[in-house]
Amino acid sequence: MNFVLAVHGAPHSSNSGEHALGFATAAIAQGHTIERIFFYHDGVLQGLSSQVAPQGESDLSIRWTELAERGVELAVCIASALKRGVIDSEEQARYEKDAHTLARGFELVGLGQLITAIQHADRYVEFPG
Amino acid sequence: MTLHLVFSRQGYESCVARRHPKDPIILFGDGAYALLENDIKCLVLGEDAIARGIAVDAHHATSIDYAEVVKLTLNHAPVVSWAD
Amino acid sequence: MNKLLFIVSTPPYGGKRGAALLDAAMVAAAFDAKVSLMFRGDGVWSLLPDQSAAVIGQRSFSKMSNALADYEIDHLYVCLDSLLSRGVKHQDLVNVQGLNLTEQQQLIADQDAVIGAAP
Repeated sequence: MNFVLAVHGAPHSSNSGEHALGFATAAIAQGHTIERIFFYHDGVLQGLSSQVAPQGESDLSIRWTELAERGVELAVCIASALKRGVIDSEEQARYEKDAHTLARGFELVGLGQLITAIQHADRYVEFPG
Repeated sequence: MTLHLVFSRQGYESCVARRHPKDPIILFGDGAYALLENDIKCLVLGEDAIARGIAVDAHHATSIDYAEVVKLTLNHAPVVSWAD
Repeated sequence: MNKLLFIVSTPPYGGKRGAALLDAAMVAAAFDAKVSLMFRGDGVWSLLPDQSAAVIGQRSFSKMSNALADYEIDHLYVCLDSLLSRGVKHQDLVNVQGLNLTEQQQLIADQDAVIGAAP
């Protein structure tokens, strides 16, 4: 079966990321496909590269990177991301900012990518923040 | 049949008001606290209940893991999330 | 999956999630999905008439929801229980069908996917 997941919560102020990672890992282990994980609202902060996880707390960014390496598309809503300072090098140049802050494995996409993924998928599962 | 994912106490209230009595509910995260004040048959993500000191067996709940959550989504649609 | 229900449950100006969800609903309609939109909980405040959000530098929610018809979102619903508990009268709202809790259960069961924006 083909899943689309949505992550709406930020790391450290929600469990949204942990829940989506747990679900995605279990689904892949059962032979299912995660068509795309869509990061929306504060969920885009999951893709912020400049975060440092406190010692003794699990570092979600490592787990996201592993998921991306297994072929899962980590799609960050560009409208939600820009206003929260999550930008790739292209947007950095466009808006003349000091740094780009989108973590490896993530990409900025439009809302249309959420809708078309839902239309192609068999199930949509949302993890609120 | 609809599958309900509940993420908070308020989410639980909103869900129960709008679900068919036969639709399964899975409690995630802070949604697990709903077990303390409700006597309803439901499922709970085991690790989230354990982390919060909630004794699943003392309530009418069944502890499940992510693999079982995935299996439930296979034969239920839509999957609806409730957090408020 | 093409039958999509968007549920707005957050207040219109305290955060931006409701507005972001309306954007998603309009994109879905533009992609020819069969779109329904429901307001419940604090989300019902989005439907109050006479909003002037420009005063606080935001987009007016009522203007956005008036635009929904242009995007061919024909199914616009509001939770009657949420209206009642918040002292809002259904007859003060325009072009939105009221649903009781059982009707909401049926509406949800009838969808392929349900998209929300809870806090």
